Amino acid sequence: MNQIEQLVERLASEVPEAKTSLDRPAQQSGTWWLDADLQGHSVVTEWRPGKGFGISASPSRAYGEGPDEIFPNLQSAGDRVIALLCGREYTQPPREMFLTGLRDIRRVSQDDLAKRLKVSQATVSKMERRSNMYLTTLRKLVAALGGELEIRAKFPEGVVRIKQFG
Amino acid sequence: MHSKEDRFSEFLRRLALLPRARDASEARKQLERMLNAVEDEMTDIPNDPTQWQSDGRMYPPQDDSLRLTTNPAVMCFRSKGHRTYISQGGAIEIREIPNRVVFSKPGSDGKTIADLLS
Repeated sequence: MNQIEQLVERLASEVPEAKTSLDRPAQQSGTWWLDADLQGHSVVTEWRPGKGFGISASPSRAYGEGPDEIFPNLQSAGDRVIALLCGREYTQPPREMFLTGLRDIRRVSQDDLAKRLKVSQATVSKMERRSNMYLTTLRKLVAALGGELEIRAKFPEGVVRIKQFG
Repeated sequence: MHSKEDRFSEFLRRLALLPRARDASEARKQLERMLNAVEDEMTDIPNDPTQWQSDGRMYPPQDDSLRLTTNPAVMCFRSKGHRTYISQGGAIEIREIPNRVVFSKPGSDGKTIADLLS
């Protein structure tokens, strides 16, 4: 029995009311899919042998899009699927953007940001092109855009917020 | 950036305008070409199909998502919310899971996926 078949067994045992449907690939090494539904709330799990599990629970499913969350092992993936099903929770795709994109969605110009940081517009332009910077600088920049910088470390067992840097 | 709904609609509109594919290989190339063009034009997300976790971009069917169907002349590619069917005659059909047809186009032999899977 492979890992996703074990997940089906675990669901049958721990959430017997859930309906599951396993979608097998043409090749055993291909991607397997498990559709699970509990009273109209659905969770889609993708298993790539050797890579892990991808999990999504979202009312919108764009064509050909990857999973919202990735889990490296069966235990953590199973825990997450059960929590999503039983808690009727949704997943969110990871949001990533460059600093310029972040400034754009906050509707702040480089000039305005420069004034808030008390630096020149040219300095802001350079900051936005850097691939590395001090955490203190990044914290000030995020604060100037109205946000708060948080540093989190992601492990298979969960996410930890690192407080070392204030 | 345009919404995923807008981009998907534009992808289907362009796919419908193309001539019927001669075979499965051409049908798959049409899907890849149209979707990649729409995503390149309407998003700023780099094309990186090796990126497994969602990066917000829509990707065409990948080899490892191939499934068998009841008809050996029809192959199916699964993704998170859709199944894409392609026939040896070049027909294309996209179904939203569980089974709502959102796009269908016959192949060069005039047959649709529904003809071949019924």
